[in-house]
Amino acid sequence: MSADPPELVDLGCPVKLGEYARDVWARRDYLLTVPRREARGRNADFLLGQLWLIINPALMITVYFVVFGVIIQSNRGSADFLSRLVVGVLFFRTTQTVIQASTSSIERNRGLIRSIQFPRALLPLGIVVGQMYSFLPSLIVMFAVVSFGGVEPMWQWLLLPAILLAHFLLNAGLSLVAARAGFAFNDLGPLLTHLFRVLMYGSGVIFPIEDYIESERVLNYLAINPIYAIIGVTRWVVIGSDLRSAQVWSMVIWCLLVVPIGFGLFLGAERRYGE
Amino acid sequence: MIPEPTVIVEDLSITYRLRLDRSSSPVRNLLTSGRFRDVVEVQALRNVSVQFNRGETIGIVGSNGSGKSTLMQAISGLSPIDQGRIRVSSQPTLLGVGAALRPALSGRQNIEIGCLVLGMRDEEVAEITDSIIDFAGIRSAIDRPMRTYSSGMRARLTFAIATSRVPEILLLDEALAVGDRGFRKRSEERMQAVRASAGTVLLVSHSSSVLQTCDRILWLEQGEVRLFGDSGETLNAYEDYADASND
Repeated sequence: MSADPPELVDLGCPVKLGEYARDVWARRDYLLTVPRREARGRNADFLLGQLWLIINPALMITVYFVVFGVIIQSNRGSADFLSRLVVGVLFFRTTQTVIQASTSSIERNRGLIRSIQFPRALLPLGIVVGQMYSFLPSLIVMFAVVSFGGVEPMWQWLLLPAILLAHFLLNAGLSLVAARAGFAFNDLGPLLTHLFRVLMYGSGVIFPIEDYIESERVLNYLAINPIYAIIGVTRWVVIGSDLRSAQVWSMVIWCLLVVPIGFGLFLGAERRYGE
Repeated sequence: MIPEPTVIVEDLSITYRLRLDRSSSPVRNLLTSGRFRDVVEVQALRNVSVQFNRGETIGIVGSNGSGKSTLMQAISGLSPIDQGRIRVSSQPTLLGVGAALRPALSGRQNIEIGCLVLGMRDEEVAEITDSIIDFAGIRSAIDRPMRTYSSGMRARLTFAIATSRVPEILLLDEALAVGDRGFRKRSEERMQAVRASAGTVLLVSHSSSVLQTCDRILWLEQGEVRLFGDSGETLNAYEDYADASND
């Protein structure tokens, strides 16, 4: 059969990373449109409609503030506590939602996977993009709370787009890893709920880790946690909190590596997701 | 003229592993790392080697469970291959786009979703939407949610979206059984278009009148190629066989 025309493609051969990335890029219009429609559709039946995109984060912050700031540690019910809280909670929750939804993204879309050929990475990445549509409006809430807390506009605010890009890359890479891991191990979903509870304290979302741990070395090791790193950098950008250089380095390295690693892992099972 | 292949299937075997039951004991599941207790292997295809060429319409026949749909799935690249090799000239189109459509959204929004998932850009979708609506013949219902459609309307819309870009390799599984006379005629025209643009149509059907229009017929039985050749002859042989096994 060596005389075959060269243009035939072998359906069984492994997909190459470069071709795959091009394939995903070619469907960017799908990624931009379909998750947005879904996000809109979720609020369409409510009386207050898309206003929920603002009300939801506002209520969430209020509850966290009352529980952790006022009831549990009334001495911390300060404006600074509230500002740190809003940044931490919004960024942490977004990553958590993305990762948890991604672990079951293959399972939930089995019918689609068995019916049409498309790069399967669109499924977890669609979750990341869809989450962006509810995350971006919540930034209005964030700036409202921060300004209410007395933070004046600072030059660092100009770095916000870079932070959002970093956060997006981190979520995208982690969603690919989570989708692949959830495909290999079904029970990951319920386990993650508990892992995230630990991670929330380990990332200083509510109470600053620095209050409990004094060792500089330990704190630097903890910065390996990408969520702790990005929340730290974001707090510096938005409210001018103290920043450790380990957090900046950790965030940059994660952002550079996590997407290629995510794609590489996810691709390993590309042809098996329909099983 | 030397036939130019669009699909070459070489020594293809596919085995389904059906899992009957997972052990109810979590300890046991962990010890066997989640493997299933009873696995039944069903050989859906064995050592199938066929070649389809440009400009051909191929009918695929066989009893239920003979491997027709498995072969279509494998050629579309959707199911993993155990053994053998499949090469294609471009990504074959199966009418699977229906799985991407959302019953709660309107026909128009679904056209957009369907086209995007098939890999079109926004501009292309905008250009092609009207012709899809007309082809499916559902202009008056296009802004209604798809869950209000009759099953015929849904099938027409799915067919119209899936074939809106004339594919090089079109895989149809009983698709022509749906829709009224007018739509059937339009679908046949579209198949002609695939053939005319030097593509290949693979058609799983039970209807003799549809099968008679095919250039060649592939007859599968128990996962193996029973006969592959001239449509009249193969069809007669298959129908004799089917009648005999029904008596």
